[in-house]
Amino acid sequence: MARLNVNATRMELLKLRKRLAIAARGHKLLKDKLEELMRNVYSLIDEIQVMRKEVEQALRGAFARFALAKAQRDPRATDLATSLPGVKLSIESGIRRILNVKAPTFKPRLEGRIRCYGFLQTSGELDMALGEIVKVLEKMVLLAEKEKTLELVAEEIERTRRRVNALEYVVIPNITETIAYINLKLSEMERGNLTRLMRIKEIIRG
Amino acid sequence: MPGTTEICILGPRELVEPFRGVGLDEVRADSSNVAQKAKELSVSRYKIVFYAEEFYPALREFLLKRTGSVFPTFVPIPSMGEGERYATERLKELIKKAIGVDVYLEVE
Repeated sequence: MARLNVNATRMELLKLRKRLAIAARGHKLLKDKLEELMRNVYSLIDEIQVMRKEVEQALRGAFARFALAKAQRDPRATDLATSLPGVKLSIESGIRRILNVKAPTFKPRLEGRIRCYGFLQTSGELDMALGEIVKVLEKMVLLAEKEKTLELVAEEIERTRRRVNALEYVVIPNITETIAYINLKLSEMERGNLTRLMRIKEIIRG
Repeated sequence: MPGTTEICILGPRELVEPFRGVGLDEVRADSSNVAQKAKELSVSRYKIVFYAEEFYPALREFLLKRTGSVFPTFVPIPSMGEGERYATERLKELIKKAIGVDVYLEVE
């Protein structure tokens, strides 16, 4: 460990003791924060695993149906049918704080009807494909919220871990070592003074 | 009515078309211009940008740079077919970053 470059005085000793107390308290707080963030990550992982699987399965099914719809009828009719959607997905977005991590929140809201096109020129597969996508849209929005939160929390965990390690392995040991050094130095000075006084006393008596 | 939602889909034609039918905005791109399009979308009104997961390698650098920003949220979605599963790989990377080990369990 490296000793801090300070003067060995009582004043510095007091300052360093205060710094050590603050560093120890900060270390404890950051460790608690790290634990809480980890707990959040575990619950997020559980939710994301299930949601992503569901979203991926539903989308793959919908894409296959859509491809079939285009193959069964004139692709231009399908293009036309999808170009003027009757449904609208709006989201109410906000920011929530998880242990000082700003995470997004989305509240999806679907309005309107999917089928606003004629049935004659479009395939039934198109209806089913769009229906499946509409069903999974809200879940996709929630998945976006969870995945972004995981990303931000992961970043914060990495940052907090670096801080905890810096305090635990660098700052606190350095201060502790410097305090010990100043204590030794002050004791040494005290012993030197005492010896000097005894010697002066002897000279005066002698 | 198109152009009124705050969600958009970034991907090839075959991926964005079905979403257009449900009212999401579409931004067509291929691997050569996807990074540029994503850059433009990052300063737009959109809150969520779903992109084709096959573009993840091309967007990786860009996404890493904007890790701390909240909006718009870029989320990969599967492309047609089985694909490369970049979305799952990305999640595994995030989990490893957070807890040190990969505990992502692929739900069957």
